[in-house]
Amino acid sequence: MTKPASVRVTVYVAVDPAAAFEVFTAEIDEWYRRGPHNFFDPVRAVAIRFEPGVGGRLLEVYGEGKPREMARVEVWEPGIRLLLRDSRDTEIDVTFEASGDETKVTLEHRGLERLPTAEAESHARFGGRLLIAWFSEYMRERTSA
Amino acid sequence: MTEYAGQSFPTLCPYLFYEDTGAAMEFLERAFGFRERLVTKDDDGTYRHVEMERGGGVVMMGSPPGHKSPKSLGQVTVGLYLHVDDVDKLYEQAKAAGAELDGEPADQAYGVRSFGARDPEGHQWWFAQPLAG
Repeated sequence: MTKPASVRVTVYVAVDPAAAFEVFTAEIDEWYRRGPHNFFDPVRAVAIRFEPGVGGRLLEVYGEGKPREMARVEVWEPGIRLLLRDSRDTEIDVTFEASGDETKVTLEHRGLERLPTAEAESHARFGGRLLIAWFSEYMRERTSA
Repeated sequence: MTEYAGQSFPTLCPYLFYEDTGAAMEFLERAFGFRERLVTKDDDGTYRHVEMERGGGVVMMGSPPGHKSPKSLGQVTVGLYLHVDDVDKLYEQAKAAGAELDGEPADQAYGVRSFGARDPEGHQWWFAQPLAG
């Protein structure tokens, strides 16, 4: 019985790669959707943010107490690539590539085979797709404003 | 359109069976101007599910067990008909990519300029641009 190992989602956004990278990282708290399934501790979470640079963390921030590390930054190349690894050794690889007047943004979540099957299936069906959908919808609203 | 898992799907999405989904994806992009939007792979390296888009159209593709493409079936059973903005330009692109072409673009009595082509596994495609006026 096979199970999902990776999911790759691609969208095109109407800004240059540097701006797309900036919005993806610096403005993640603006486009990341609140919801019972979207945080580790959805009751206490008040924000999500990146610590820029290699070795930086993706943090779930609480009103009180220490933030929780969700992933660690392994590659931080503004306008080009962002690679994150979480505590269970799955990787999220995001690339930014100029394509005409747009930027092709590709998010690949790898290592899903290391997760329990149900969770791997859920990530393959929803995880990356939703992240990219939230990001691209925010980009559309931002660039049309 | 139907919204699901953060993406929009046309009401009708053809699902194409390929023996070599990776090669088909590469060809559809190079020859017919499709863009990849979703790729899921299994832990044995096979493609679980692929979606590509062109204009407002989406095709799904993969290699589910028990299904054959025209290549091994020896018979085309369905054709895909797409509307495009510049049929002559797409013809040149398909030709340069080595697509098997049914002929050059031609004006049809029913109001479009179109050409037909086959992908590497023999699926039939038609591309049509409405004639002016």
